[in-house]
Amino acid sequence: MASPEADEWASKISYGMPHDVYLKDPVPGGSLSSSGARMLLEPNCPAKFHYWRTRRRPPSTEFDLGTAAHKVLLGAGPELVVIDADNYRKGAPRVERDQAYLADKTPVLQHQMDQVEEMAAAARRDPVAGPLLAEGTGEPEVSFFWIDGPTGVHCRARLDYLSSLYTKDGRLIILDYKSCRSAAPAKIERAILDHGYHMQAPHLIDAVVNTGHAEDAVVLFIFQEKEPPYLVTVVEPHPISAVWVGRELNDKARRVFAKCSAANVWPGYASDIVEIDLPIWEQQRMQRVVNAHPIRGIA
Amino acid sequence: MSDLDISTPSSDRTSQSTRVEQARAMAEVRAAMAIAMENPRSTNLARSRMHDSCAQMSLAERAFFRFPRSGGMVTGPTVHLARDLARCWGNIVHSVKELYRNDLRLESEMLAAAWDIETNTRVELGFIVPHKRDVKTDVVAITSMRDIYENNANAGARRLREAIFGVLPLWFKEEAQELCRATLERGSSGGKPAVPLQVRKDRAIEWFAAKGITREHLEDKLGEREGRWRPIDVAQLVIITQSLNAGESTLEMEFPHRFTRSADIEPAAATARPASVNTKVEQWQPPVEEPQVPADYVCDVCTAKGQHFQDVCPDLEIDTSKLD
Repeated sequence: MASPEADEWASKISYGMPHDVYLKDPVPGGSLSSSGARMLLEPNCPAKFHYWRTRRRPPSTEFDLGTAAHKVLLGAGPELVVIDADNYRKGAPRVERDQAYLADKTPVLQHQMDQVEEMAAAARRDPVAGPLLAEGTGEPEVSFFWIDGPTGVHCRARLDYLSSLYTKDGRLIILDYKSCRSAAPAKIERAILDHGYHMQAPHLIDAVVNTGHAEDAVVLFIFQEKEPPYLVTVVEPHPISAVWVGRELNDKARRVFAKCSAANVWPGYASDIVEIDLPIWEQQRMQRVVNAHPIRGIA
Repeated sequence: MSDLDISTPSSDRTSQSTRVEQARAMAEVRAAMAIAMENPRSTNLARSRMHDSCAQMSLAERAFFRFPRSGGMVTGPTVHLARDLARCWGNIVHSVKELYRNDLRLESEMLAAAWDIETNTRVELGFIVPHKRDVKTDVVAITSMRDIYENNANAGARRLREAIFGVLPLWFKEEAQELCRATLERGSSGGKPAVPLQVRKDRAIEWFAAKGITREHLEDKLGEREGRWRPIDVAQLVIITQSLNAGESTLEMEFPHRFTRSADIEPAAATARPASVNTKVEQWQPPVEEPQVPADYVCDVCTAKGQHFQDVCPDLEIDTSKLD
């Protein structure tokens, strides 16, 4: 699947590539990102991946706060457009917002911007996250491109912040920032599963290892709540139960990508009628209903 | 002679068939004792059988268990070894029975027993098995019939092991364990050529690699670099694989990861950007857009219209000798 134009992207590190250029996938013939890999596998499918790789998702203000927090804290992500209004209900702010979206920028209301700056300050004050994000410890917006050895698939990854910190045993620290509703460890466990961050971690490690940027790496996710007091929890996914399992899933996704790309066929969820079984606990509950006395109060 | 026998008594009333069964059982016991008296065991023969058994990899690999407790690992001989030694020793009856199941109290009353019918040495262990399971920091009830059976069978197997080892001579058990360890060290069943140590190391490394465990993890576990592993170290890995397969322990328990702590992080010695020699490292530049040639533009060199600017005309010749 490699073409001479794509060969240029066989192993490449690009500093400062704009967000929208990376999102549009600069690799001729296509490359697989971590979010793409998650879109290929259950509960999604190749058809959804193929649909969205050539289309832009409709802009949503739901994610703008997180995007703005990335920009203010790490200097990563699309340019911000601060709109001096309380909301988007009136005409002018709404137009400004839509113009920002059209220009691949992120609109933020003034009070949201204040909130984001408070979030960034809280993250920098945090005793664990603060030193990781200190000035001079890394560079924002670094894009990695490489070819996955076992599958020959072009891959790409974008690090919010390429840290120059290492563990004492020589592993590069990769930081990934996530704004969230709750940074409680039990909730983070669920968020990692729901959003596939266990697949993102090995994908980012592959990026720095395959391009020779580091011999080994460890991914630390910085979770920060979007509500005051903007609590922060830094987590390391378990190397076996999370990272290794994620690596296996990534491998599966790359194989699916290679096969679908070669045939240019992007299947949906199923190719035949699907047999659906109800969960065993529901079956037991319904059986209890069936066995219960037909009508209470009547002999 | 007998084996795991889990039956669920259905009623307290003694029926005709139960009385017949009781009489049959008593007759069977008397017959077994009579046969044992007529055919006393030969210690040498029993020992010879034990040597044959313990020289087999299939038994040696299942002879030891490992499970984590209180931050350490508990190890010991398995019920598989106990049963096989009972067979070798001979004239031993052993069984596990579920005497009563109480679905309201979520428990089973069980009995594990081993009886040397020749010496009339008997070990009986009565115990209650709660229909509950530890899940992380919580305890949850088991309600499915299959799960209750598995739970009772597991608890019963452990008591049965103690009962059998209770009637076997201690030396018989110790010698069998030594022989099993020797078989694991040799890496092959008795009579077959020993498997070279390096081959067994490679097999073990490959087996664990498929589960995300690296060579470095194994070296940390055994406390030795791979080059210095002894046969007993590889045997230890084989025992771990059996425990993992049996569900007695998990990868996380066997290979606890030392998570990164803030104190473990330090800045890089140099801020250079290392990359492999084949990696292209670039500072991104927006692509330079070629200016469009107006349709009515005429090249002064070749007079072509609307095709190229004159400074890039293919017919343009520059006398380089006149350049400084």
